[in-house]
Amino acid sequence: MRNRVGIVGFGQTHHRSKNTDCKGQELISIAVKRALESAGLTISDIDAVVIGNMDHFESINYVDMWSIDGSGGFMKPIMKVTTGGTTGSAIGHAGFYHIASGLFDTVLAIGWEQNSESDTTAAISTCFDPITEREFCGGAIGPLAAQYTAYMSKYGATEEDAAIVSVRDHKNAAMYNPYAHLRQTMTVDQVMKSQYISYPIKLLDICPRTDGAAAVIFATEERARKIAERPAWVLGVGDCHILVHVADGIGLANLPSLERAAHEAYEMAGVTDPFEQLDVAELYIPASTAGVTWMEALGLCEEGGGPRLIRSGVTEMGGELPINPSGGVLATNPIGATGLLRIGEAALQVMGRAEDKQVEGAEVAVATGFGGCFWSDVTVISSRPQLD
Amino acid sequence: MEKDRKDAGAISITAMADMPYYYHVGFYYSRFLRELRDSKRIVGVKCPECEKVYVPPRIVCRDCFVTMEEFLPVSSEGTLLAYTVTNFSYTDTTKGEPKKIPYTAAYIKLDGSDSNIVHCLDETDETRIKAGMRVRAVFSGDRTGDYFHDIDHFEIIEH
Amino acid sequence: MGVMRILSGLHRITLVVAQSKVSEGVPAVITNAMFDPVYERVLGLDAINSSALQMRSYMVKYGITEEQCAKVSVKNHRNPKSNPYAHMPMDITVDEVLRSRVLADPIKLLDTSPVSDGACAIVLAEERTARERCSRPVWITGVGHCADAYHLGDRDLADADALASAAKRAYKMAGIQDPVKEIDVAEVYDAFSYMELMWMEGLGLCAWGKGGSMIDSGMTEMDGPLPVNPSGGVLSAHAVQVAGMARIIESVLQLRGEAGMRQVEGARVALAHGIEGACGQGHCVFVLGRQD
Ligand SMILES: [Zn+2]
Repeated sequence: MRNRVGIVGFGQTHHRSKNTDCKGQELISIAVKRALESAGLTISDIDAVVIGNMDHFESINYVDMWSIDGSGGFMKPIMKVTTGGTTGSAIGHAGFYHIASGLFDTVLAIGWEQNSESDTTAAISTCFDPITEREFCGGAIGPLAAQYTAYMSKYGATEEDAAIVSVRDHKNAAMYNPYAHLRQTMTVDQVMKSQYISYPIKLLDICPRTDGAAAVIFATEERARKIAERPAWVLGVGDCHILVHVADGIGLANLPSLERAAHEAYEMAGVTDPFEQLDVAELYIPASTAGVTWMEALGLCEEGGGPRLIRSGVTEMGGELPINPSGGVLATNPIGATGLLRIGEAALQVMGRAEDKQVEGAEVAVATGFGGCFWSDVTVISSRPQLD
Repeated sequence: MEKDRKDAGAISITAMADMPYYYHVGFYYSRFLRELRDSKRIVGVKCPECEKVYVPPRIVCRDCFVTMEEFLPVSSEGTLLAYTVTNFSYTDTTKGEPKKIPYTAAYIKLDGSDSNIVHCLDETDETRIKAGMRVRAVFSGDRTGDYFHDIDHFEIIEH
Repeated sequence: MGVMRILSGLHRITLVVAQSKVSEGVPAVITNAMFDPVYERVLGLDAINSSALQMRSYMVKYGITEEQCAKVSVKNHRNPKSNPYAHMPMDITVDEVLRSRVLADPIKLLDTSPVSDGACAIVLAEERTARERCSRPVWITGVGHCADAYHLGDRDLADADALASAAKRAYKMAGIQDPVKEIDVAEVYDAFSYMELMWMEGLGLCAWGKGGSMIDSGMTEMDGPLPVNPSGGVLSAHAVQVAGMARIIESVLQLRGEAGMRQVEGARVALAHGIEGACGQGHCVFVLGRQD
């Protein structure tokens, strides 16, 4: 019998584009205190800490060591996890494994970023092969933009399909999420008329650069039941890192790593019909285009069915499967925290603690992470300790 | 709940650190770059098990995890799989200078290769580019073996 | 993390890989960036001069001498003469160490580990798979890690408190009550010669402040009761991200009786140790045991 892992606390900062009032450790401590408070715990209840961010972004080496003045990790076991864009989701998975291994009872997982502190596009470029790819890739946006040209040509999707995703996520952030960074609604027309950043991606199609932090507390079944009335159980995790050369990922209109990670997580959780069984999704969608192209990898529609799914309205709040009630990555992107925010938001949903952004009756949620050369993480979280 | 702090007197400081790096490009890339420089040839390497051809060449097949030894030339023509006209500048980490824009990043499958490369296309009007177009490498006149610069750019093959 | 994946019961076999090409970057710039960007980095602190501060504190607090530290260098460059994977096996004398160029007083060139490129990998498996697939598996019986305060000024640099805590966790898990008696061979992270002495204290393998008399006694020599760093340790090969795992690999070789000329006869329990951050801010301890 596997050890069950529960999520019992979640905290995040009010995210902003430039948090000049805080340095990294201060930002981290705010998220940690909010997470502890949400679980009714103190730092002495924490047995171990997992932390990470994007390498190079803040010019901090050994971030696990540096962050102690904010993380509360003094004289505790600390582990650093930095896997590029998937950092946040990988931190969440590491928190999961800390508990699942039986080595620790209560674990604090922290993701953070001060995007405003450096030239982050240059830093992101270092994830591409230094000799043959780096100078042509154009940071995080270039490959995503190129992927959509392949998807449009293969399936007849349009730029407007992507704009609908952007409108949806920004609207959710503006209406329901007080912590979100960008909180303004926009129309499809406004998105379509915004300037091309990297054809076919326009200014209003892409995620912002955000300063912010997030913290999630994981616990053993015994601890979780004592701490929380309705813990969120982590039922499935899947990670997939494929393709060393980003160019190999781009030839594909879809995202095989997400497909494989989702398959692993669904299988572990007992999800056989994702569209039917999932009640809400918090997806790492860094550009609106990905909100169209990656839906089939998650098993939410047929091959090439992204545009149909998005246009049908089922992914809007009030629809059958709302995606990103929090506003997602398009509204808030402190990269090292971004994947962990998805896990935290998904947990809030199934705990019934999502407040304004609550999806009524949500019991099963999926959270994803995306990064680097087209890698993916998938987490299935539920209010039920197991699916039947 | 812990309050967000607002401090009108908050100080931000600038730190500059040179981070030079000396890549040892290794056996496979050395051969790749030498062939480009000396013979204007694009070489790949073939997996002895699944026979996939990888460009640029690398030591192991990602599927079979066997060492690949057989180098072979591939065509300098190929198919454009995906592209993006890049309109924002960023630090080109190979030079430490701002990248000149606009430029078009082109993801290409060369004939004879099973993997893809990324390079640039000499066309920045997106209405004149389509995924699936045929493209050809244009080699640099002055070839130095540095990075992927001995191919200057790719051009669209007109029909 | 590899251990956790196995213990979770979700994975049967995990491959753990580390690689480090220190020669491609500028170590001083990189290790400078582990210090506080606002008021420590500008002092020019890096791995070497911060360690010099620690070595000095250690010497002053416990009366440790430079000769005693030099003996570690002599031992750890001599031990790997039969280790084909080591980067810098060599015969040197205490006198040569003492007269080598001063990098940051009291640290001299021969007190210092080299800049190395390297990679290593280990395969972990859950118990049943390990028994089925491997004739001589080595068991991970205990693991513990812990981190101390960030600012050097917040710590007593002469004592490795976080290491003591990490070791306690690992010993508890492994059921070790008397580490000196029960551990047969240790691989500790000697990035600088003095570190081996300090870490032995933190590991509870000698009393606090007694690292100097321990090396004088010959206890940690190949023919002593507790050989330390038969592989030559980090002083003989320092590919930074690899060096911690290399300690585990040497321990495995020792426990499987595959360490050749540097084999510690009858080794049944081994300890492997790694550090993180400036002056060993964080520590990780593995206890490994032989298949019986
Ligand atoms: Zn193959």
